[in-house]
Amino acid sequence: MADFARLRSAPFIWLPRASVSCQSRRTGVIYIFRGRSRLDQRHYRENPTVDAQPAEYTGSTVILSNRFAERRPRHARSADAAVTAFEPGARVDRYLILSHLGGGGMGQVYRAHDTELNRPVALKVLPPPLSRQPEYIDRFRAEAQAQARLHSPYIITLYSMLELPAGAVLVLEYVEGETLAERLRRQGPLDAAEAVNLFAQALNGLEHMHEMGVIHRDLKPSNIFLNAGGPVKVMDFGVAKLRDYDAFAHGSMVGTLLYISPEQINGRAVDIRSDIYTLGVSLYEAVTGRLPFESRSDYALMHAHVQENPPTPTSVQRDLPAALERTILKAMQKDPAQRFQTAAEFRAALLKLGAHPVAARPLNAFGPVPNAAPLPHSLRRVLGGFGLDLLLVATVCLLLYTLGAYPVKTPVAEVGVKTEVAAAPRAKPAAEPRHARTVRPRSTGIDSLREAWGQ
Amino acid sequence: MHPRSLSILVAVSSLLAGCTTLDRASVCEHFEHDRQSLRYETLYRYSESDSRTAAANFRARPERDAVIVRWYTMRVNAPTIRPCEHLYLFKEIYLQRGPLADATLEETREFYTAAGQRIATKKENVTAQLKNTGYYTASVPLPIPESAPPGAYRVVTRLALKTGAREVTLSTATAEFRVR
Repeated sequence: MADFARLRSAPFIWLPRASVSCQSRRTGVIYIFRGRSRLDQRHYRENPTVDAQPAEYTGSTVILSNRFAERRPRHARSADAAVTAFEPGARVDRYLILSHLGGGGMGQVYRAHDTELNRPVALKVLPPPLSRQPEYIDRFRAEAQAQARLHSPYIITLYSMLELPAGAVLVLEYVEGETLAERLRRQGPLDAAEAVNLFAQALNGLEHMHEMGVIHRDLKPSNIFLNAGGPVKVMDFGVAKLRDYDAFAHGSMVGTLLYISPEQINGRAVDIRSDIYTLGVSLYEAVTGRLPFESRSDYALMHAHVQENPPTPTSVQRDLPAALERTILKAMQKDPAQRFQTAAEFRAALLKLGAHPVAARPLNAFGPVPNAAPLPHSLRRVLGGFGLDLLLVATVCLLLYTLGAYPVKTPVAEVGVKTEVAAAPRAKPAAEPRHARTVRPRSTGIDSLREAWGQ
Repeated sequence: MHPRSLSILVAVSSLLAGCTTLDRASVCEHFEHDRQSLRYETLYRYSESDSRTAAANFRARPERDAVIVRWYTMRVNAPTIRPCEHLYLFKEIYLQRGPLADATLEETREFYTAAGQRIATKKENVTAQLKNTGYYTASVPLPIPESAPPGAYRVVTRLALKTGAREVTLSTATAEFRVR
């Protein structure tokens, strides 16, 4: 069982493809990814917490290829070795590590400071044990080459690639914000207008990528970054394919099972329309909060992508515009010829749904051009001053409110306590309204649950 | 500390507190908006390949039983959740059934606090959804209202066969989560 758990946590697993696609009795692969077999049912009962997030396993990028089948145990060990971390304060070349941002099969990502150019950067570090393996370093280089071709405000920029004793390092643009996956976890599904706006921006990046001969192959919500102060950015080119070079063997299945296109599963030639499908699945998830295919096993998931029709988005989210539903379903067609043929076509279909100023704005080298006409200098000063005044007043009110010096007179406090105030100590009346304001009676909370969860 | 520095510090911290409150308020506003349109009822989806796998792995239905549930699980997408978010319940069922004359399949969901107090019950008729032998999955959103008291909760789902006033429980499954 220990081996089993270790293999499941390995971010990259190479497995014989034949065993997945024919689902023979020797399909250990399916057990490894999601653990829904009979063998795993027992494991699930014994360790319910270990299996609390099985969907996350199918949410990880996987590469299925027959090239590395015989090396599986060694790679699993290697993946463990990938978790060698730099502590904050450590230096990697001229970069000062500030914090750890996350990690995947291809190493760890850190927030760092470029001490020479005095700017924040993100470092993706492939540790030495993996850097010494030709397959890994080839892929890492391919990722760098793919990303180096791209110059778009909608794509995370690669600054440089270094091969150091500490491992191979990609120096990337650092942006504040969160991934679309995090946003969906935090806030639930997006409304149609917001989704259209964000995806239209991501499609801008995708269009540029395709023009430059790069196919992403893994456009899931966790690879779409919502930049706090700017446009959406597509990231993680770890399994990208270049028009003239693919680091993965021909016929390898590369991607994330929850989002993967039918042709990737079938081992057919993958082109830009695979990215259209994957982004269609992501858009489906973004507006409904649910995935189009949620199956028990990886085999079933792959089967669903290839054979089954997804439930219509309006069956789970009533308010979606019919046009958006048609757009999503067209992007998710099984036959690539039936999908949008280019990212631009997909984007145009989305933008037809309504006016979305951010997405529709023209671009220059620094991002979307602001479309508001600049205000006259004096007017700007007056408005700015007025805004500052408002801010000051709001701050003072908030401060008074927080300190309790500005009690809210609730009807209960006025009517019910009136006669008792005289007998009570002086401090008490001031304290009571605050208490009444911040602490809700317990029954109110339970009643709200009853209302939300009951009939 | 200099009084001026102190007042700036207080102003900035109260501003930050205000921003946090506003951010939370917008999350809750978004959540309430979602609640208007999201469908909270169970929608089972038939999975053809899982059904084939299950058919090969489980015994066939005995003739005497109209319905048999061989596999029934429920899990949540996150063990801990905050108010104004949606928790998702993932349910999986493999059932074998024959014709049901006037019987219905009813799924009952019960919610309990950590102390065992029942909070709410929701009943759904799923006869039409589970109309054939097969493997079905469903993900059901569960809203966590803004005023939800923090603590641990348990949800129990029970599938029953109802024939008139008679009710036979076919299977149950539980999951737990915590509201922060």
